Amino acid sequence: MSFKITTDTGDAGLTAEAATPGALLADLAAGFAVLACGGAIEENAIKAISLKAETPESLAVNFLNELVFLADTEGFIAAAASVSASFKPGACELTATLRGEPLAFGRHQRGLLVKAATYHGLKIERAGGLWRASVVLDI
Amino acid sequence: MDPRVKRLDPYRLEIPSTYKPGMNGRVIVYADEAIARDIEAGALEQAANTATLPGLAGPALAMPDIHSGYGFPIGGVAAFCARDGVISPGGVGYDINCGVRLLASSLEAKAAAKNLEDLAHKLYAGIPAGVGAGGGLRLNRREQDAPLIEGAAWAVSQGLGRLEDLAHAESGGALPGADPRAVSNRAMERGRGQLGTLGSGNHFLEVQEVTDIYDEEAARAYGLFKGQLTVMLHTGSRGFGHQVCTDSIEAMRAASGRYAIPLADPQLAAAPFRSTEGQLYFGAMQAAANYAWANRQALTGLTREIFEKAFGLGEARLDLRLVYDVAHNIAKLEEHELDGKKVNLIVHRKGATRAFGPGHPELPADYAAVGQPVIIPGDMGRCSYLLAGTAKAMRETFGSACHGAGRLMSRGEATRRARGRRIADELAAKGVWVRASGRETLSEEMPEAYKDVENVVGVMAGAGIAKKVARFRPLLVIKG
Repeated sequence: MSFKITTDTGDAGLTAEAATPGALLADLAAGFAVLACGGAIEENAIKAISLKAETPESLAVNFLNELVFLADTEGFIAAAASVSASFKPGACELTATLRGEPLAFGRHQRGLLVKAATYHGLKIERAGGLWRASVVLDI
Repeated sequence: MDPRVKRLDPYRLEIPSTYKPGMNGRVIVYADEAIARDIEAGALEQAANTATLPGLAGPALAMPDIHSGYGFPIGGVAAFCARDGVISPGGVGYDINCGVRLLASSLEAKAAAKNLEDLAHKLYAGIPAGVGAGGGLRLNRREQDAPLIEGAAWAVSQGLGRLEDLAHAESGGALPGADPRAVSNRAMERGRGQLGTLGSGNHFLEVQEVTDIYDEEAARAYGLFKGQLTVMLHTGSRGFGHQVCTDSIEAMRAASGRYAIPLADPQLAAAPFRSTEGQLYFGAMQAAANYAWANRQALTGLTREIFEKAFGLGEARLDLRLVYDVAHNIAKLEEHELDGKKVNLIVHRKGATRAFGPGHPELPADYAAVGQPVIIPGDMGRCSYLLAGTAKAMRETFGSACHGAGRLMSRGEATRRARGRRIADELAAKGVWVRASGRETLSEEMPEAYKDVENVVGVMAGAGIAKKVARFRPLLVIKG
């Protein structure tokens, strides 16, 4: 798992690098969990997600916005994500299985309330055999 | 500062229309020398980007609390011709109709001092705040349309306010063009349990004392006096508005391609205002704006109940009146005079406040002579201001002013500088009781993380865009 949280603006960002598109998106999900509650989540419930998009950038934004939606409506945060994804230009897609639980504020920290993943400064690129992502989240 | 940015006078800078290719006009930045030193280059670039959108009317504007946002900078104002210009969700932001309202009590802060600790605990327990906070009003799907159409009036109809509150809210606390059919099911789902909740981040409820009156006539019209106990409340459309924006950015990205709108930044995605896509966003955005007004009104009702319990006084004796409510993330269809002609414009204010001058027909009768109240929160350790809009603002800024102090530090820098410190204790030593539910909120929101609002307000007053009416110091602060 390789992600980094950046807080060099008034908002927050996530950067990640991984060998495959699926692992890259799984890392972004792990980073989101740390931002939302410190990340100490148990795998008590499962959610499945399927998404399609024209570009890897849109796919990543839509995936993170799916996590935002689950957090905002059900309090659900994923402890782990198994993601199978393709970044084929014009036909990007993913299927993800999220394992996690709803936040309970005796057991979990109250982290940042993420409003949305944005296209601001968004980068998904492949270099040196690795996929790299950089996403800014509106807080 | 980029040498192409010229100083026009002590309070204004100009980014010329030649600054970057594709600009349709210049940008005026309201900043004195001190404020200008703190403006990030990226924020100026974003201000210039807003001037590249089609149909720009007059100059694009940046207020002295400018800082980097997404697409538009925070503190940005841009107006586009309703006939052939665009509307952009990036010009409004994710928290649609995030705004502030000011309530004024009949009490003197000094006389209320013995009840303040009890009030603080009751407010912290009674105002739903923070990530995942429950306690909001739960509406079923059939009931959800009413607040989207009626705005603050819906909350009043639920017993969460008084009819006279509505006259003291911008646009009466509801925009008439809201279209719930333009709102996705996902937005409806996010908004379902969040009416009557404060949220997180920089949202707050603050009990304050009026420390200074600068304009006796305006203060009298607004019902303010020195030493008075007041309440300032800052929140918006919560997850409902965030989802409306998320949905719209996706739709507008596709629309920008269809209408061949050049985008200097993908978050500036836009569509012609009169297009189907533009009108769908406008209808959904107005629904979210009305949700925000309903939310602030619901919190007002809750706040009044808590005050009555804490002070043991009835509603009539406490008289917690709404002074005014302003939106600061919104796009509105307004008539303005441009080059001697009256034109309909779609005015985007992102982190900027409407500041209509005296005599404007949208002002309530009791404020018509002095201009619109412009509420400017500072930070939780220093002060906040109430200003009044001016005739000059109508001529120069489409009746707009700044919206707050503006962030100076990133979250990371603020957290690093707060390490090892006890921010709540530091504020308590200054007489400010503060409580937040988030683990890092106090660090990220500490006073030094913001510009000094005195300087920001000083630019607005110096430039004649808004005049100072009153200053407030914080006594109790509840944050998410």
